[in-house]
Amino acid sequence: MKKKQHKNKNKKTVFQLYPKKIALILIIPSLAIYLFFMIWPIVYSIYIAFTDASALNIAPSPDKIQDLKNAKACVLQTYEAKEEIGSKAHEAYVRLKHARDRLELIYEDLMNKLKANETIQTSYIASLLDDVVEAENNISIATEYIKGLFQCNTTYTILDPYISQNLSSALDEFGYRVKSPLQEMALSLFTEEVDKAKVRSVVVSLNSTITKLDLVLISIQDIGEDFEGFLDRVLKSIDYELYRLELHFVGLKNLDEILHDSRFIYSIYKTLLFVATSVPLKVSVGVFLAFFFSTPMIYGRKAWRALLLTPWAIPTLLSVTTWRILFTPGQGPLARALDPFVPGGSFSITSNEWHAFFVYNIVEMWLAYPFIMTVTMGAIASIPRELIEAAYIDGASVWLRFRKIMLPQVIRPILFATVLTTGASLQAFMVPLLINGGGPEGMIRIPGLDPRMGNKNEFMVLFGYNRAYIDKEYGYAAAAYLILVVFLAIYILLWLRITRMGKR
Amino acid sequence: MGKLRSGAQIFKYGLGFLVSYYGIRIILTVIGILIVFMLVYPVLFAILTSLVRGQIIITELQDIFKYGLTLDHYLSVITDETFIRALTTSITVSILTIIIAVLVITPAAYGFSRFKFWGKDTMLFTYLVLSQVGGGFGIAAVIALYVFLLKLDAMGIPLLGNPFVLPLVYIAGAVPFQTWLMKSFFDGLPRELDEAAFIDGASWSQIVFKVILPSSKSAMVVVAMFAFMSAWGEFIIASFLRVKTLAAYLYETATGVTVFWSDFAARTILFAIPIIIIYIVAQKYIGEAMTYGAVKG
Repeated sequence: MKKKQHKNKNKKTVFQLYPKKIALILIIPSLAIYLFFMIWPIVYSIYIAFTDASALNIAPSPDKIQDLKNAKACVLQTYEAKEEIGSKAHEAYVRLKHARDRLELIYEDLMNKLKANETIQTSYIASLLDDVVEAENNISIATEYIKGLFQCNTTYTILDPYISQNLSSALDEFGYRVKSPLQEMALSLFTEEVDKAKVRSVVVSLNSTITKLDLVLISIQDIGEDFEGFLDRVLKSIDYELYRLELHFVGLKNLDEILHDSRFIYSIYKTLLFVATSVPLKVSVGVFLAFFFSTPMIYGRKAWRALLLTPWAIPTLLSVTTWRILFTPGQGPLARALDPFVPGGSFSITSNEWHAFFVYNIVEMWLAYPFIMTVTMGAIASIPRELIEAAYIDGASVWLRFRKIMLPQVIRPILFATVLTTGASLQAFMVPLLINGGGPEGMIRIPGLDPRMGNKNEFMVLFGYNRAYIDKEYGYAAAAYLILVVFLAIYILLWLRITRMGKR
Repeated sequence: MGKLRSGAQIFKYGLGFLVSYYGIRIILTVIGILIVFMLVYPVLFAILTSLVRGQIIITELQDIFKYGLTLDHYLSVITDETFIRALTTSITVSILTIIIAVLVITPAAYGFSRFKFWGKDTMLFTYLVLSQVGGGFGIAAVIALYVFLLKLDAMGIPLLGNPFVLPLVYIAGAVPFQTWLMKSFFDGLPRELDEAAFIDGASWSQIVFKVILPSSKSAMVVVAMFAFMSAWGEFIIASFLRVKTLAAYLYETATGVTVFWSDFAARTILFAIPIIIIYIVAQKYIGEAMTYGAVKG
């Protein structure tokens, strides 16, 4: 403590020269932008990870909520008069069923007659007319009843709109294609026998009317049999819709779900695998290039070195999509060049996960080798020349010079570069996204977990991104990032440890 | 070194060594050229794709002679209205990013370099760490920011799709790395410069405008270049926040069901030209900064 005070006294002049107030003024603008556009969203995303945020509930349109509330009010109103309305619903159901059964009888009768090739008398047709008219009456009364069940100012579908659509089309068809032709036949006074072709067309229309009525009957069966139960169910689903439009704190649900999501577990596995394959690849290529192009034996090596840094000069959008073109299955030159090496098939980044994975490695290597190469070249250049020359004069072999003199000098910078580039692999995102969006899609099976359909190469950052961008499940995406943070924290600790080791 | 050594060895081993020495050099050079060609091949391929007639993927060199080369794709791109509109947006966003970045990061870096205050080391350390895991955190932050802006949007504050939000987001992402970059530049500037001015009785505004700003011109150019490169090339945040910058537009056209590869290549190459030019002009700075930790990808 005392020592510190002493130190401060010594530096008093500096303090006066550089007042803290000015420092604050200088730093605050950048800090404010950083805090608001980076730190605050990160904190906010931690909050989101514990909610069920999704496209539905993050900013629901007030109209939609009002609509649902209208629907609810309407259903509640119906609820109050459930005796009266329920009996109407029941009546509609009974009438429809009655009409349907009657029509079926007529249909079967006519069919039998046609099949047996009997002559059909006009008088027989006339005897059907009463039933036909009664059925039509029943259908139209039922239609009116059903239309009157819920008269709400809402777009929410309490009753399937297809019901009244089906009913009115059934009514139309029945009127024009069944009733009218039958009446015509019955009234033709000059013939005893009826034209069979006409009867056939009537039978066809009758059949389609019955099918439509069947559809309606299935849909309104629950209304007709238990109206109160139906209302209960509608209320429940409206409440559920309303609930979904609200943001809820769900605690650890997202985290629990994501840790049991086979897609995410597979994503972790793939990410770590990618780190394990891509890091050695890019480091060894970078180091090799650095040593190779450090030999004074190569003509024009400065120009070659400059050209080798091309990946740095090209925006990733251009370079990675070019790689994608090169590996387009069946068309890209590199995909075609690899075709013969694939047993029984073609090289396809869109259907084989490991082919895509291989391409990611190549592209990541291409993007990162300039970094490793530059760091290593810098280290090689900083080796004192006298050291090498002395070793040369002493007669050390090329291998010995490399191992004993060059390697110890460059190993540390390479190690640091490796650590940094490991972080890049851990957060690999652009490459899988631009190559094939993290595909191909397929069933992902993890022992002990439910299999799920998903993209097989979604690395962790991409996993969160796709959940947010494609699925619009923000809570889930944020939970994925929360787990990613754990991995990044481990990485940072490792990085700091290695850096500290280097300083010692 | 090589020549001197070879001279001594010719004397020692004679002409045979000379031949084999130059032979090895030529072989190594040829191998080197092959390696360079392999690694630059994608870029050459992109250029060829943008020039070949029709919308094909070149699979063999003969294709070029078969279909012929043309500048049609470039012509169709620069007459494409959407492209021009996206270009305008990109230019606006980039210029704003550059201006704000220079205005905000230069003074902060100066502050970090010269002043002593509570929490300075912690902040610098945090910046250093965050600049390495920016990728993962960045996207998490963008998603949350998007959610936040959606909420504001619903409240009637239309910030989504507003190109003026984007520069601020870009600068926020660049603050840690660029502050470090600039700080190390200021660390290299002699302190005596401003201290002398202070002792001479100059006020702070005089020191800033007469001493610091003129001497940090080159650093500001570097900050401006990095700001430009990040604003110009970024497309994830832009497409998330529904701002159609050139990069976001290109990304959109790259992910469609049918991609017209030649048009796409022409578009992307036009888009890449400013960045390539800046890279060539400022290769030294960028290389330095890249080794400093700006990991691409």
